[in-house]
Amino acid sequence: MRETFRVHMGWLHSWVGFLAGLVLTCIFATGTLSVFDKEITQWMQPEVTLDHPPAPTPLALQRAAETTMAEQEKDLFAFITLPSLRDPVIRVLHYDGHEFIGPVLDPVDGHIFPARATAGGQFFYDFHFALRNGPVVGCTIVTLLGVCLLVAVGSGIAIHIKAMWPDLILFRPFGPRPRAWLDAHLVTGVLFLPFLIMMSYTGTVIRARGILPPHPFLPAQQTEAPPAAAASPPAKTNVSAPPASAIRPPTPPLGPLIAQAQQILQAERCELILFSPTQIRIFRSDDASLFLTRDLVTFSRTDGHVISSFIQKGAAARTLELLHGLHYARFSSDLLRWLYFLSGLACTVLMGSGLVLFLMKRRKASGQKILFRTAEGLTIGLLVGLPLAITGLFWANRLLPLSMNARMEAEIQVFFMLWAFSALHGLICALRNTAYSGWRAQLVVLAFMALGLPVVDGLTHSHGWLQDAGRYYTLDALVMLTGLAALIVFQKLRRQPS
Amino acid sequence: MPDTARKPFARHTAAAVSRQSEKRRAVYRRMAWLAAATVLAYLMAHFLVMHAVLGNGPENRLATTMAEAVAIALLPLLILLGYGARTHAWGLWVLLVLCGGMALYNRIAP
Amino acid sequence: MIALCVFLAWASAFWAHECLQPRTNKLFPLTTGSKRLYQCVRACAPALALLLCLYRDFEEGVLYCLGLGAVAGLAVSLLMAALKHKQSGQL
Repeated sequence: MRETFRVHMGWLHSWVGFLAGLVLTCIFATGTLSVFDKEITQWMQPEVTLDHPPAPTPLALQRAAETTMAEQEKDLFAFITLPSLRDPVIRVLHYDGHEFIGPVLDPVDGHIFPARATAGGQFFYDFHFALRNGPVVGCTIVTLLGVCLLVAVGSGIAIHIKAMWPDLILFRPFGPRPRAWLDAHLVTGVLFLPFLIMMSYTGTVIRARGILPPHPFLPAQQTEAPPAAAASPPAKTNVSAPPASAIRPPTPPLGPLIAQAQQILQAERCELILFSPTQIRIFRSDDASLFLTRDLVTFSRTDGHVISSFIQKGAAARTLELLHGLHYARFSSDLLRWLYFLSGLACTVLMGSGLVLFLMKRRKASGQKILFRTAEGLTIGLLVGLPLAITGLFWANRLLPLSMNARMEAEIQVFFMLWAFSALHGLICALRNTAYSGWRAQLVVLAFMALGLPVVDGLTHSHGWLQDAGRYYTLDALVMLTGLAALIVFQKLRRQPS
Repeated sequence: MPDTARKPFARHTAAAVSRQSEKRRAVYRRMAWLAAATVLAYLMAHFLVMHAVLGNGPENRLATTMAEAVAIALLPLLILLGYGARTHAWGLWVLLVLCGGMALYNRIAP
Repeated sequence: MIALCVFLAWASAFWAHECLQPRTNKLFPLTTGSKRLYQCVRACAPALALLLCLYRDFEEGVLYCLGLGAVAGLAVSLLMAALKHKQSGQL
């Protein structure tokens, strides 16, 4: 057996790529959808009309403050997000362990929209960064997989570096199948390499503490000074709920406080308003620039005077803000957000094609082995099952009754049930040596569901199609394109022997 | 004359079996090499973070986070170095020396 | 408008690069003058694209440049594959 550098790197790339890729494909796919999490939430809450200017009135702010107090009475740590260009409504949100959810208010008069209970685009965001397993276990797994991805990328570059320049955009879709799939893998990998490295690295850095804890493993390395609580601006998830029994003073008008915060922070807009028993904290908007800051101004809750402001400066702080900003991509520019989306799609195709290539290369030698068939079953459940489950989530959003109890949980259950069925079906077909029929059957179902979503959307009369309808056309069109792609792949597979 | 010489099919099967076991041994060797490279690279990353904690104090979250950013950038590169540089195992030796040096440095000059 | 120009600049660079490759030369032969022109385009177009992006938005310019470049590369790759398939089918 040849023991050359390329062979070693090829082995590393294949195995780390496949084993980690089974989960990384989900992470990348849901991350791609998270780029438009607000827009997906707007699609899933058609009761919320969006044709308002993004500047809230004093009446709306007062109603938002009252709604926040009412939520806090229920022991929920609620906070306010102010309207923006992307999301021109006021939201009073709280964290339920997975998503930020809560009532939606009109920025003109503060009335609460009768929006349906749904996780919205936040569901994909939570799946992306924590696999719906919480900030400790889930985030640690995702961070470890991020390191695996960086290793796979590095080994991929090592294998392909000689041919990278001449074969920069070489793609032969009409050639032999393994060659076509390899070209698809290489073209997406090389062209989107800067994006892939940037997102993997920044994503891993954000939660690096999960895998590189800043305390020694061995007692001999202990420092003498006891660890002190770090002074840092509070993040959304780190602040605990105020006790229900705490006496809360009436909130001063928020409008002048927001204006003052904008002046102090030298920001065009502010976004978050957090309440504690004695303080009101107003944060700079995330879409202000590429740098994701947590600059804030703290006001007294009793009379609204400024207590302090926190503006991080310095090269180290700016570097970290840049790393966060590059990953979270909360820019206001539509074009850049679409570029992120397309790049994320391309990277998902990169990983999917890698999984298919892994199976193709080993089918002849190991096709009858039980582990190979399990791997193929899981791949079917992932590459077709995940889009199927996502489409199912959208169907459930339109079809489940609005007044249903635990409606949000029901939507999520539909997602996971569909995915589980798909994975089970894929495994059964693969273990029975009828993997091709498994692929075809699931592709037909995906095509039907994806092409049928706009029909369901129209038939359920959830919204109008003339005013404020861009969000519906866009999402329905993208899902239809997915259905068409599934149909084309199904047609190609139908021509091949099982 | 041994049976395998008189029976070419048996000789072919024996060669295939020995190739399979050689391949299996090569895979186990690679896995062990990768595990060693990963452990050493991870220790190096950990010592980097600890250097920032010991040098700046645990309250200085910014310094620790910057060290984590550097450590995460180096971690996959070190794994690839330890695993890929196989001639005389110089990749693993480099990692070992770096780890040892960093551990000593943290001990002597926190 | 600037985004379109950046996209076209990258697309022309990728087109030039692929045309200069020996495998494409067999199907679409080039004269010496064309080769020089393509080499110029391949070198200068990405630089022009970057300048345009930085002019549009200095902070996010690099992101625009790389993002539009990648999408342009993919588009040219698909177009080239279709053209080569058509050309090799006709030969």
